[in-house]
Amino acid sequence: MRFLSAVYTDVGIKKSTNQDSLLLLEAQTESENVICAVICDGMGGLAKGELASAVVIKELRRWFIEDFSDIYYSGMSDENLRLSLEGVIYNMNNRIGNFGRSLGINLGTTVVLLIIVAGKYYCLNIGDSRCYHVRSGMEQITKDQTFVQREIDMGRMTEQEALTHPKRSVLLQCVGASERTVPDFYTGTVQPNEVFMMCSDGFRHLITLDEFYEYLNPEVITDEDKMQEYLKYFTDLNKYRNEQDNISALLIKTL
Amino acid sequence: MLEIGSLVDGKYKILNKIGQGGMSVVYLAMNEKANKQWAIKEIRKDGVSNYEVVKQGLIVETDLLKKLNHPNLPSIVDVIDRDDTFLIVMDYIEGNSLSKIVKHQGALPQEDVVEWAKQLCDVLGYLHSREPAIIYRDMKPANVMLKPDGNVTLIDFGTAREFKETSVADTTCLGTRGYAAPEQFGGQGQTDARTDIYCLGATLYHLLTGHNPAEPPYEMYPIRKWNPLLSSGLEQIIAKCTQQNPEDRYQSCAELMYDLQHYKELDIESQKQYRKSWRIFVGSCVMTVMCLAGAVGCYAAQRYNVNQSHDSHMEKAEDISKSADDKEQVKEALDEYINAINVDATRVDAYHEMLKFMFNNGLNNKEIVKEYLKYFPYDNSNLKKLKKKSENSYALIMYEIGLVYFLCDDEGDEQISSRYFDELKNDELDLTGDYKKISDKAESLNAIILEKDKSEFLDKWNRIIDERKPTQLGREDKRKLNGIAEEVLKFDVKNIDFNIEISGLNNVIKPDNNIIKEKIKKTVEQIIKIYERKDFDNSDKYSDIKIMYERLNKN
Repeated sequence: MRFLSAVYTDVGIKKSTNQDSLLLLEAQTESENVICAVICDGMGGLAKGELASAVVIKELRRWFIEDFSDIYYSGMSDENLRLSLEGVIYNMNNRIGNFGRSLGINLGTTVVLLIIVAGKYYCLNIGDSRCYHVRSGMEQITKDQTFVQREIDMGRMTEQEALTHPKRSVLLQCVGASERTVPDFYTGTVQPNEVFMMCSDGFRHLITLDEFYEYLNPEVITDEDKMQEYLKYFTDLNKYRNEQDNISALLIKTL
Repeated sequence: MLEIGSLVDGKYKILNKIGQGGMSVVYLAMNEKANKQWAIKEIRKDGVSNYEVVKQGLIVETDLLKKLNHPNLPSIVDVIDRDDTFLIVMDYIEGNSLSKIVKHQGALPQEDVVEWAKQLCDVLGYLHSREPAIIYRDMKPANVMLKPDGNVTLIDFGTAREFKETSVADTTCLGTRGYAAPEQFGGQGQTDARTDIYCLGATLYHLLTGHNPAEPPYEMYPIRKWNPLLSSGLEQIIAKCTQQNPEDRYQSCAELMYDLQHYKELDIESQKQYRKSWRIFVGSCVMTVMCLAGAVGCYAAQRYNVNQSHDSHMEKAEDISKSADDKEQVKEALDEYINAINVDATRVDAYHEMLKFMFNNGLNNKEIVKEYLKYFPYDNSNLKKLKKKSENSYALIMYEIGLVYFLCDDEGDEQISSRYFDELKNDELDLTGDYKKISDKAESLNAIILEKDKSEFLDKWNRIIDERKPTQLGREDKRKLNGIAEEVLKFDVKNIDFNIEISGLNNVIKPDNNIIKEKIKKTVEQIIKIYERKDFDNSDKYSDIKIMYERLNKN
């Protein structure tokens, strides 16, 4: 399987730093191409959020290059991949947590990771960054680990209430600021001519799924220039609609 | 940054760095002249983006704090304003933070926590009563120091509160804000004294249960869910502190303090409620005894009449019970049985027929059955009379009462039935013939109740069903499997010879996967165990299941 891809990130209109970090790596093996994409949305009072997201991105980059290839060549299984990733996240959580404690500050980051290998996708999620599978519609792969999402799941809140709830930006967990993290893990099959869109929450708050689908469906996305262009278009649209957060997204199209 | 060993303001020698906060560093310092240790908090210019604003806030705040004087607060003795830094000199608090202690020791002893809670409640009340009121807003175990003398001190009080608030647009993580009250998230609602009460409740919850409210399951359950031995009064107090709506919480620290000082009485209060039903129950016994006393008075002269009266009540009861199809008739029949028992408490037939009737109507008229079961406490004097006459009969009736409770199957009923079964065992009755089996049966049922075999068994069963792919297992099959499992468990209890579709079970279980096969085998073993424990030596189902088990072993 081959891929087209594009990334875009913007500090936005309000914040002074961009605390989002992105990673996009494509590896070539004897038989296929493997792609690994990550978005981290950092948080932390004293402009240290970008540190947390950058550290996780860096570590996941190392993981993909070193550990993942080991897993790949020693016969991949869902279980091995999952265990290895959980290990990385566990270590990162401890490392960032200890760093924060030593300075007496709180910092952390969300993580959404997508790997496409051998006709399957593997997706890991902590926090409220998202991954969408775009085929005949926008299918949200990840479920937000947020306070409001959990209230909705428990039937104690409606989607409408969640939009304006004072706790809407409270995450249940994140890497670095939680005592322990429990990542969600998703897998599924991938066909050629499909699109994956990953984004930080700033990219999606003010744009509807229909709007996204109009520009991100596999028929419209034909080359990398277009992909880049559309990401920029949505970023500008977000700013125009007064989004306050950092804005980041990436696109992958399978061929 | 202050240098270790340097002298500040001509009197404080900086000894050591002992802590670091978001925009401040805390040092241990020594006033060498007075030979006393102090903590010095340094607000660093480079630590905050809007230093001047922060500093102005700090000056106002520390001026305020300097006026405070409370045994559970560190006092501020000096404020040093230098060009590059702002220093606050305050009491040095020796000890560990409660967050550290609860992390290492898990849940902490109730008595200690209540003692600390009183002190914290006192200090919060003191702060709230200042003019203007001071709201602490950041009560959490990490901000409470436990001193070597066992008292607690609220720390981290020097930082200006305005700068602690995070704006809504910023994403935050529960891990850092787990103790915060709902109104502290976002602009909605004003924070006030009740905010501190919420945070104190969340803090106590963590200390008592060892479960951080900011970690999965991200929710505060009643504390006795984690440890049933904790005080129910304390449970009520914490639940009231941590209500979502400030209106529903304690409205002031004084209210909370009163309850903390009387939490043991709250315990008694709840026990009273618990016992209310027991008293009604005892009341009805007394009435029964009184009726009996009347009956006994006439006993000698009226034996003939008694027998006749007993029989007529029984006849009436049986007549009604045959056609009883509404609640009133069921009650009427049961009343007649009770009358019959009251007339002659030594004859087993009335009890037996009544309980049998209860069996058959137990599921349709549960409330009525339960109401009438109250006529039979284990120390019921009628039952005692029966026991005196025949221990065999007594054993049978006790067993049957236990079964009816078991059948009712509401929360707590199983425990009650278990107590009846226990009574049988403890009494060391001298049983003869078939009656010998009764106490064994009671014991095996008791084992099921106590070991929670039932739910465990059903859990396992459901897990197997879940692990099979939906395509392999139709809804009808699931229903059947569940049905069988439940029937197997109720077999003895219902005393009905039902027919399990064992062939259905055979059809469903054609394992194509070794793991699933193993699991099914284990479950079937479990069924067999339950059967064996229940003495179903001549049960057809038992042999069917054994055959199936052998087949599973072969495949």
